Amino acid sequence: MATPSLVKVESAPPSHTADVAIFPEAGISLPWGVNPVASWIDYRCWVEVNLDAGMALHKPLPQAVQPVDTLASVGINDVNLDSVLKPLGGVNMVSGSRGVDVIQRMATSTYRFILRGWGVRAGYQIPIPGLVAIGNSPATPERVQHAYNMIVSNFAGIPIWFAQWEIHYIVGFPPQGSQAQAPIPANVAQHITPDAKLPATVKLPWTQPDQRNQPGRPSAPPVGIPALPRRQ
Amino acid sequence: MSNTTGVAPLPDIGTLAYNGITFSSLYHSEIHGQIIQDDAQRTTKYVEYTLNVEGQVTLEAGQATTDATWQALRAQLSVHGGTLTYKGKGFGPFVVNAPGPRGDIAGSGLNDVAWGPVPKIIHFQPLGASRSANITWQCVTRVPEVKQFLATPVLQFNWGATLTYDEDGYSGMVIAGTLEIPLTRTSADSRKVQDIVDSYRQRWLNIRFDLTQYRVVRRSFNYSRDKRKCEWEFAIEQLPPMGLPPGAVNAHGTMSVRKGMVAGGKTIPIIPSGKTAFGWTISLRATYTVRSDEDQRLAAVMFYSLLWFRMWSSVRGNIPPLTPDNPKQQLDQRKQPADGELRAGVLPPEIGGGGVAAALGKSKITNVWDTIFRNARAPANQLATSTLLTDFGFDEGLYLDSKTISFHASWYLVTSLSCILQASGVWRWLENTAGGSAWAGTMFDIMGWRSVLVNELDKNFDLIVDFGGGDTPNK
Repeated sequence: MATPSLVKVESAPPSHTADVAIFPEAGISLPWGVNPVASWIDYRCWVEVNLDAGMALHKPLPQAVQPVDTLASVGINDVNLDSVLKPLGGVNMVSGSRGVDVIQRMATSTYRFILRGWGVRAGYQIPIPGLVAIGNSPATPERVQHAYNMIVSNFAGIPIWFAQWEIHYIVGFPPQGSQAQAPIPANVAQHITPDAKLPATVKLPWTQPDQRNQPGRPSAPPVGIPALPRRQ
Repeated sequence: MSNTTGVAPLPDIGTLAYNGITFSSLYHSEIHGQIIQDDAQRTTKYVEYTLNVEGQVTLEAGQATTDATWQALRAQLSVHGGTLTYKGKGFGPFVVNAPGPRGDIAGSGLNDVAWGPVPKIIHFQPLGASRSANITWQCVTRVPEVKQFLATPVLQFNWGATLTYDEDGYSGMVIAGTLEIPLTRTSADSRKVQDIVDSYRQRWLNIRFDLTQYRVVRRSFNYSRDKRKCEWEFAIEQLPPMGLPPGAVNAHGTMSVRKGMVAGGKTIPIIPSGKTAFGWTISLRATYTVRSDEDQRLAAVMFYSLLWFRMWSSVRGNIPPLTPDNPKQQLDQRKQPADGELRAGVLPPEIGGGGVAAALGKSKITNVWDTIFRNARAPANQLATSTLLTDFGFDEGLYLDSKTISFHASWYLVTSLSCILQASGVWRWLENTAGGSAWAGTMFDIMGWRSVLVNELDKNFDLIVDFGGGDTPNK
């Protein structure tokens, strides 16, 4: 005889064998930034300008005994170390030398431009940028150039590329007048060029109607009042 | 054994008897009737009659003392549920629990409705050295007196409600009530429980609510020990705008949008601007509780639907051109992003066509989701998307926590500040995947008198335990 149960034993729930052949997610595919313009994740590119002004400093021999110059203004264990004030405080710029050096121009100014940077991009390799001209002067690559692209990650089958570069340039004629401006590359990840017009104001994000207020949806007033059973 | 209170010089006018004991004429009696209202105090539930009897017990023929008589009186006048006969007194025929099928109340006279009649007092005072005694006996019986309601199986049904509005203006309601049925014994020596109030739960307590607006958060059914009364309670609360996905009894989550990209655990900061496009990281996180009789993998499908819709919303983003006059950069220059680009399949009429559906078959909820996605439409201009899935993971509850599973996903989105709300899909989801009649149709069958488990109480598990009582008359 079966053991009586306070709560009636319920029949086992129907098996879900019917669900085995159903895969609702089969029709779902997620987008990715297949648009090349939107594939940039980060991008840093800049031009360093080095200038050798072509000047030389000639050093004549000293003509008299002179004390040794030092930048120190107080001993490290001086009893008054903590109370030293100007003119003794700070860097000692007072020189004991009475000699006059000769500054002479040896050559014209030499401008060197170093294009450096790195970028991160999804799906596509990063094109290594290069300088074309500095002002009106063509930019000529010199020295050893470095650049590479590498895969640094995999997002669901989409490679993430990382690139880095360093390319040196020289110009035959130093920049003059209104052309004398350091070249500044555009930032493709930020989608902005250095000559972008400054906005007068910043727009707030556009909103949108929520899901319940989509055009064409019937707007039924909420009911809310529970319906109770009638007397049987 | 004696079945009377002794010999009397004159016969009784009328009859007073209980459970086989017939009183002689040596008594006087009175009945007090108290009208018992139902808990709502709107109607008479039954009348509670208290019969007080004072009389003398005399010697039976051939007896030297009243010992044998009192032995029978003590045994039989203390039993619940016996037949009480009180007629010929001018009170109208008053036979409670007459022998015969209990249930045909109108045909066989009155039946007690609360396991009675219930003897209350037996008072004994000896007289004349055991040859006589004073007896005081009181019996209470509860009977319905209104004839047209004698056949109803329910004694009372009423409820009260508490309506609340929380600090967010959301409604809540607690409805509590009483369901009571009449029960008595088929005979004084019967130990069986013939019925139980839980048997009436489906018919009387299948309380329905508008599940497009509310969800049922608590139900309780408290049964009295005599199995006659059920104190029940339903608590509901208003659903927030998004509601719940079809098949989920509970769901929580967040979507956060932050500027920059989280890569390798490090955030690359990007200064926002109105006219430049830049990267955002959007994180979606949700925890689901799927109804226990459904395939738990539905939780993944629910999350996929939201992830799919929110990622495809990126078509509504805006990437300003790097160079204004470069035609290759002329993409997504809409000022008012278009609407209605993401569409779902049309649900079967019984689900989303027009109101709350009837009870569903077990595998129908999976079919609901299959229908949603089978016809789901992504925007045609897929080149406009600017998003990249960067993270996906989940946390599964185990053992006693196996009710829930949490999913999270992150994606990188490129759009300007002005379009970030629309491109992230905030406040939006795929039609029929949250709230409304789509959810209501999948919950209709477990939000009333029952949930996934019915938990019907078995009346055969209960029986009345008498100690020494309930002997049959004339034994």
